[in-house]
Amino acid sequence: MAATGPSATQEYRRPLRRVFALAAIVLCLALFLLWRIDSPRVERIRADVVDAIVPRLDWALAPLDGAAGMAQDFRSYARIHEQNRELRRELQQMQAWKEAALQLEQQNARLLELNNVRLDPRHTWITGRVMADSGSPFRQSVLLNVGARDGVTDGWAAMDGLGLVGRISGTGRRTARVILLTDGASRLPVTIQPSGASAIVQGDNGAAPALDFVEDPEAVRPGDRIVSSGDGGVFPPGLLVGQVARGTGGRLRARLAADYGRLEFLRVIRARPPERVDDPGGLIGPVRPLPAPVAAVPDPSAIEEAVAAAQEPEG
Amino acid sequence: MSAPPSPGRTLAGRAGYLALAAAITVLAMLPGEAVPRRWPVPDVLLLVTLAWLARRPAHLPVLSLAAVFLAADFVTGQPPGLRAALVLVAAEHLRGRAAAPPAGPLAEWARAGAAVLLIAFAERALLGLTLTPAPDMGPVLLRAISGALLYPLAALFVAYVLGVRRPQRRPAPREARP
Repeated sequence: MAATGPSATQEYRRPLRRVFALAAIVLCLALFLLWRIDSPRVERIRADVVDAIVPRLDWALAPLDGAAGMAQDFRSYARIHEQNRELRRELQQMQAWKEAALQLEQQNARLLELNNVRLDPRHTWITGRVMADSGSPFRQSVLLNVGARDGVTDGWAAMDGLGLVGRISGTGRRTARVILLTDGASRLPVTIQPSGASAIVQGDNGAAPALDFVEDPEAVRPGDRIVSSGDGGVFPPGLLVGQVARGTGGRLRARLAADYGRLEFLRVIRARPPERVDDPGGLIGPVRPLPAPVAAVPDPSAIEEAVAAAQEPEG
Repeated sequence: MSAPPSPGRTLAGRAGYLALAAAITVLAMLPGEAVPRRWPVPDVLLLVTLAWLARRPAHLPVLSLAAVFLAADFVTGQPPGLRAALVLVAAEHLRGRAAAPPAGPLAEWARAGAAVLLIAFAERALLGLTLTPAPDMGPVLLRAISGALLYPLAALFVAYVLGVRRPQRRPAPREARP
């Protein structure tokens, strides 16, 4: 146990390292607590960190992304026969749908003409490319390559060509994170189409989010359309979410219309701020003149005069 | 190989660990299927870190561990700092073990498996304690268990593919004595 040179420094270094490690651990825990207390600020830091790191990874992500896509394509070659049959069947169904759609279109045009309806201007959108996944099995989110630079703000809706995918939560300058509808923290007020029942689509880290708080469960059938209701000003109303399906245990679930298997480009819908009604009176009744301002110190003789004038007609 | 690891080699090892951690994180983030998987994949970054730590703790200084796991927390959208703190605690504990004479591979497996499970439980407990919304227990547990079971794969990868081995214990002190 002779304390030679190197082992002596070793002995000094060890407690020092311990202290250093302890400090790092405490700092990390402090960051966690800070996040718990003041989440928005730390989330902004997170968005900045992601913003700084991920675009630099772009060159690395692009070829890897391509390779992953090729692997997926290759896997799909393996069952090309099965796919072919499936497509044929779908095509047949589509023919029927096309017929129905044409008829509906004609009918719609006639009705529109009858009503002379002015349609809402379409929502405008920004299209962003999906750069990265969340990388964690307990967070369902993707990163888009559009950010605050492009005017994207938190809370906007993101869709693929067909259905709603999620909402923007966390924007850096060049990136924005989309929390998917499947994420455990995602809640979306929806309307179920033919019955008009309102419900909440509640993500639970599964492929098909649950339908909760259904207004009238008896009126809801599997296959019904689910669209966003716009309640609470969360999203514009009428965006397609998916279809009702019955999951295991008889629980109602939403089969999402967006193709979560391939999220490549997402549309971020520019939300117009909902119209707010602040002043109560403008719409009710005619505008009345305000009472004339009373003089600060009324003259006693003026009051007497007024009283006399008021009593005169009666007397 | 019996020579003491030179500073240059240690530096290379540190850089290698950082590069590997970055690669794992980026690979996990590859866009592709956004459909939640039914079977949670184990936490590869944690497994590789533990396996490396059992072999060359000098390659994983506190600072780079903290940086790697903090960055992973930030990028993957987890509560920032929580898992990093727990991994640092586990690493400090296991670091002391790595300096001791090597036990068998089974003991290493047991220690790493226990670390993976304890980190998952502690994370869960702290999330509950701070009333943070947390994912369901089932998938979290499955992920931890699959990680504990698959640890040998990570150890084999680190030892034989990356060539990170334990420094052979040199009998230097005994030789120094006449």
